Amino acid sequence: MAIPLYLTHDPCTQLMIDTEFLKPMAVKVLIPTPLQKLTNDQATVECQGTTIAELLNSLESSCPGIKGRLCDDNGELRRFVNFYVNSEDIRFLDGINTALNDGDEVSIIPAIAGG
Amino acid sequence: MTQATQLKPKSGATFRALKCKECSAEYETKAIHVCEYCFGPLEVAYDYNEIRRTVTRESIQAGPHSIWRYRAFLPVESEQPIDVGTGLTPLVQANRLARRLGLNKLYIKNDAVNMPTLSFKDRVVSVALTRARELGFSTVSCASTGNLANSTAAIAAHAGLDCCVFIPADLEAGKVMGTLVYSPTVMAVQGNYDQVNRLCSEVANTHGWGFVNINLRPYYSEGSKTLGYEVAEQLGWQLPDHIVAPLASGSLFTKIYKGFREFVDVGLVDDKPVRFSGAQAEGCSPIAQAFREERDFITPVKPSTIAKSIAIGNPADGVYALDIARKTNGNIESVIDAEIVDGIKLLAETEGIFTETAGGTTIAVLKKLVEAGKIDPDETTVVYITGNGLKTQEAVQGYVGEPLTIEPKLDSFERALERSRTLDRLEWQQVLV
Repeated sequence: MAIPLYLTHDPCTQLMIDTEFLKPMAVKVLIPTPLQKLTNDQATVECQGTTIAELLNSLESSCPGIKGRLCDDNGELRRFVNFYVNSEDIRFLDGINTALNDGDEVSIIPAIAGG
Repeated sequence: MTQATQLKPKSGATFRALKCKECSAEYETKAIHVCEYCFGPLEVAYDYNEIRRTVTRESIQAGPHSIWRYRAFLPVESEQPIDVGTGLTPLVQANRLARRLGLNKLYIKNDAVNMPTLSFKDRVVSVALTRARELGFSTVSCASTGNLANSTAAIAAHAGLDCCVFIPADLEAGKVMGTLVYSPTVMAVQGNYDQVNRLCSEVANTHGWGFVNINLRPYYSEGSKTLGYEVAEQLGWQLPDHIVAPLASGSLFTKIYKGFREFVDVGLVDDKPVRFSGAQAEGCSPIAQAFREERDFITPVKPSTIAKSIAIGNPADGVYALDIARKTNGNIESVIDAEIVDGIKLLAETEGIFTETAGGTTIAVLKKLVEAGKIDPDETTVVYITGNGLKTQEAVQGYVGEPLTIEPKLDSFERALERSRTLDRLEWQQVLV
């Protein structure tokens, strides 16, 4: 039987252990058009982070300048930016502390639309 | 990514740029709607000196019998805008409703009979599609709770534009039919309006389409200013004391305000304080909740109300609507679904106007504000009725009685008439039968 890659043999306990938690979370981020100048015109970016707050820092290191567009001087998300994790508005979850899991999709959407 | 080509502004156009409402950054007049620095909404900036120099009450009155008589205040360049007779709807003095509520000077701005699709959306779409054509779009689209889809599909058909609209899958039958008949592509999204809107925000800019309420939103939303201009003109070139309007995204509310201010600024009407009050359905009342709790931010909600046309849980212009209601000494109230049905019936029975659930909400909030002493009986109050009741028949089904079925014989008619009069009397006496 094939062993899943994330199972590793631990020589001390002679058990197979799950190292999934050691890998950084890979999250797909959808970038809105007004920010694509900062992502070399890419509409999606792969990022790491276990929360939205961490994800913002990870985004900033791969796309310098992007955090300043999304957050105000106090580090709070700007009021006209909406974040969604797997299609749910983070204001219905834990806001900036919303937990992220491997494979999650985060959408950054300008709040101004519709009506 | 396909981008529309920018045409050179033609002489005569009075708008000069898009300007961020938050940080004042300026942009070219292209199909963009958010500031790339702070994500604030972009709004059209005009050369008001030019407007003041060229526009008079007489020049407006000599213009077409439609919103295009206010063309100098609208963000288009075309010599021939798309004019399907939109606007200049009746401003009805509502004496019977006023008496019922204990008011003295009440008017209904009746956009239930706006052309061509019986809601105020024809105003914003006429402007958006005129601008879409100028920017080179051949396909137009929208995220809609129903009325906007009707309007976009109809006016796109008239203008020969391709059309693809997105609606929540659970809309009223009349609103779906009233879109399908114009043969656009209709995407019925399994989700609420906010989810439709989010999806469209992701789709906008990927297919090179003009989304009237996303990438064309700065132009589109300006169309609602005509609801302000018309009321001022129809009141004999003066402003009312108080307006009551429905709140969904909050855009219409803020643009009526902008319309009044512009008329004052260019000298078409005298300045005076106008109170702005907003109406929401309790089952989707994020702006009313923020008003009540004295918050300056909106907490989104998941809508659950019969008033689907205004069921926006995540309103784009909510903070601006809040601000206007507060600074004009107005109010924002909400009413439950049963009050909305009563509001629809009250307007129909007293004024002969059959409105949809948004109008029922607005009438019910008007009543609530009067009962709470928040409308002075002597204020000139204008209530905006923005949509037509024939599109949301489900909402009143079972609450409006039934026809008396009779045989084609005189005595059958007489018996039925007697029976109906007895029932009327019983209802009037409030006696349990």
